[in-house]
Amino acid sequence: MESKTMHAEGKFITLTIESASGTLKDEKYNVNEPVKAVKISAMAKLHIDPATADNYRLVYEGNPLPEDQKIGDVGVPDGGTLVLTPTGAIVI
Amino acid sequence: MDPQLSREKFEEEYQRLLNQSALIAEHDWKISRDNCDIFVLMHPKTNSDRKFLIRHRCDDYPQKAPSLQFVNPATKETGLQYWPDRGAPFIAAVSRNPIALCMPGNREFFETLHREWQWDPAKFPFAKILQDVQVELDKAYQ
Repeated sequence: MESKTMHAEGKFITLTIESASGTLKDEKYNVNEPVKAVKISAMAKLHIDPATADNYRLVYEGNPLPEDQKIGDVGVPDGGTLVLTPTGAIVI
Repeated sequence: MDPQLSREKFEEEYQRLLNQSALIAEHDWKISRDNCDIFVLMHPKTNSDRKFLIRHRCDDYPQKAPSLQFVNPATKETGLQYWPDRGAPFIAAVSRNPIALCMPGNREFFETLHREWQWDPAKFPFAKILQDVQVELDKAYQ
């Protein structure tokens, strides 16, 4: 049986990203992309101004993801759900 | 708007909120409902013992923005004593008569404080309205 790992589809990982502005379902990201790049890409798709990226973070099961690491290296499984959440500053 | 269509829009948006289970878990929201009132029990991120109950009243949704009040967690009655006692937006809100939170997305903001603003339900999913309150709560009690 094929294990469900972050490299299940080779170089890509499929993620769902929930935010208060909406949800991105089953988005594919290159496992070598930094977390910050995933975040900015998701923000653009959710129509959240990427210029405000520093006001947001990606969280997996309660743990903020380190932004300078690759998305494939931070322990998020293929098919996992991340939450895009504000860091504190309110964004209108 | 036809009441049936209005009801459907509310149900659709409520379901959209419930579907965001990871977001709800991240903020540790406890959500319940009584007809068109959505109740959300929330707490500051750093203090899980300090609980507040929001009544997110959605009568006339989506024509009108949801009314947002903090209420007694046990009886659900309104009153300024049930509002957070820290944080500029909350302290300012209870100093107004009627109580009104100056935060885009709630009815009091559009109908009492800033009539020059136009309510647009597409810009304010329920989760966003609630998360904006959560952010201020986190800042107030950090």
